[in-house]
Amino acid sequence: MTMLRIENLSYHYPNGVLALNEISLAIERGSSVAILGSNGAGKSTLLDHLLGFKSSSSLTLDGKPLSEYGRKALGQKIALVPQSEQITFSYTLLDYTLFGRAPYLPPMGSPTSNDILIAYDALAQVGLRGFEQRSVTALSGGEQQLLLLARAIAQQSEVLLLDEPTSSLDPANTKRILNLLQELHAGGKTLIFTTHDANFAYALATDIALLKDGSLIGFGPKEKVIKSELLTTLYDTQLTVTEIAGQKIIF
Amino acid sequence: MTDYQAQKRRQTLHLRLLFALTLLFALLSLFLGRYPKAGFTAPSLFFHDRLARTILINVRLPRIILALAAGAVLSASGFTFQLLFSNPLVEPGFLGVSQGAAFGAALMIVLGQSRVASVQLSAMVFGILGLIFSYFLAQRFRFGGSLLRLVLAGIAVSAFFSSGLGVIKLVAEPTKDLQDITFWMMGGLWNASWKSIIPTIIVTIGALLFLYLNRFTLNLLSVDEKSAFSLGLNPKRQRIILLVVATIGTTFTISVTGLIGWVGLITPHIARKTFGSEAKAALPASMIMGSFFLLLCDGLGRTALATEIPIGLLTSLFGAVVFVIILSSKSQGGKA
Repeated sequence: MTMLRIENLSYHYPNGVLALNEISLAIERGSSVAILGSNGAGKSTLLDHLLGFKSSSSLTLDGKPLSEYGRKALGQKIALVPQSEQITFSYTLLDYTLFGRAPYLPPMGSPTSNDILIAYDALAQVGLRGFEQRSVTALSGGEQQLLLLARAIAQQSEVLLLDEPTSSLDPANTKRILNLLQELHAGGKTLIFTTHDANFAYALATDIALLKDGSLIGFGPKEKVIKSELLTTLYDTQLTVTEIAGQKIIF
Repeated sequence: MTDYQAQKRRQTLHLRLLFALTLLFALLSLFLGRYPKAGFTAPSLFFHDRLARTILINVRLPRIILALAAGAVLSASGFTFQLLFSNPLVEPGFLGVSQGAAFGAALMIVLGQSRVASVQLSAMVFGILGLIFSYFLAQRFRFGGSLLRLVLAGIAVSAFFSSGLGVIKLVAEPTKDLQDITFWMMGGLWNASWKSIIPTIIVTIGALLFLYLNRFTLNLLSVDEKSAFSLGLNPKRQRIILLVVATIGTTFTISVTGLIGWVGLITPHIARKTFGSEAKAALPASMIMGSFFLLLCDGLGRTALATEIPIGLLTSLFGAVVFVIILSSKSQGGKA
């Protein structure tokens, strides 16, 4: 069943440059969609539209235009895991995870004991249980990514939008995040993530959208999209897809 | 969960103790002054000396209430600005608000409209204009990151209002208007009377209450704009509303007290260091500490020398020292 639908979405940057060109996508509930493309292809701009941060009438969520959702209602449906976040103040990990409960709080409200339990649970899911009182400013890049994921888990939304979730991580942390996201997907979350790493996209996604210079050059089940010729066009360099021990490797 | 609840209970207890200590100090401050001589006034005097009673009720009491309110609102506004701009080195004075308010107040004084309401209104309007100019000027700058641009724009706007203030001082009538403006620039609570403080107290309480009720939102607005949006906020609108409320609180206060710097920069830092960065505890702590700090400076200013030391001089002196200590310490964002 289609959950998120984009129809003929075009977007120009304020300087007039075309960022997205007539994009149409239908994203199924419970799917895991990778938006794959090189730097500057328009991946993050597309993600901004899916989040509702950039307003457009071309997007619908469960048949209703995204722009017609209230801010809190949309926050309960879609959560964002940014690539990184500038954290100035020394909040504790628990404080920061509790921010994810904001869409459920009444105006001027504060988290309840139930929200605190949910935040504890989210920290446990990402393996940060026991560090609740640590300062967020003392975290490594990998730990910060886990924390941002914990905040999004605490948000209990149906859709997780992830902007380059592993671009700044070492292989160990990349594997950790991959496993976590696979678990979340298996638990029923709809994942939509941007990446320029075709191997990561293949490992996590059910469907892949190929974005080049703001245009969609391919979209469908990963087995049909991850082809040498399409990837070569996407990255303007010769790429080969091969299978080793039942695993597809792109290099 | 138990650890968290125990920590929150401890914080609440510490906040109550701090509040009680500040009230106690406020009570003690009623007995500080220069009647019949500089220093401590014996409580027994108020029972049989009518003048002492009048001083207590009509001079010292409104002054102490103003110190409590001004300290709380300047500190809360500084705290708010720091979270909204994700920068622990920002306060209304850095973004053209204080200099704008000073210009507005001085303008009314030289125009002969020295009624408190006119000065307050003009200070408020120019204070908000200072913030608006800083904000829009920062958008046009093509140098540095967004925060640096904002602080630079604030410096430019403050300089603009300072030069305007200089012109006003140049044309001000030297025996009265210039004196009024000069004292106003140094900051002081000697103008406090029941009549002059009531509008300020009403606005201050309103601003403090609004900021206090929105303290969880303040946390959320300290993260990236896109993240704040995904958490169900309307960051642009909510940021502007909170900035305007903090600015109104600040400008209304300094229109009566004159320029009192550093409170909004220093006390939020100390509050975060002692109560953690989460605004639920740190914001009320900041308000109480601001009140205490201003009471302390006012008490010292009234009793340390034969003549009164303007409170703005003392807050600047202490503020600069604490600022240097904070910047020299390892962690500046506050304890977790």
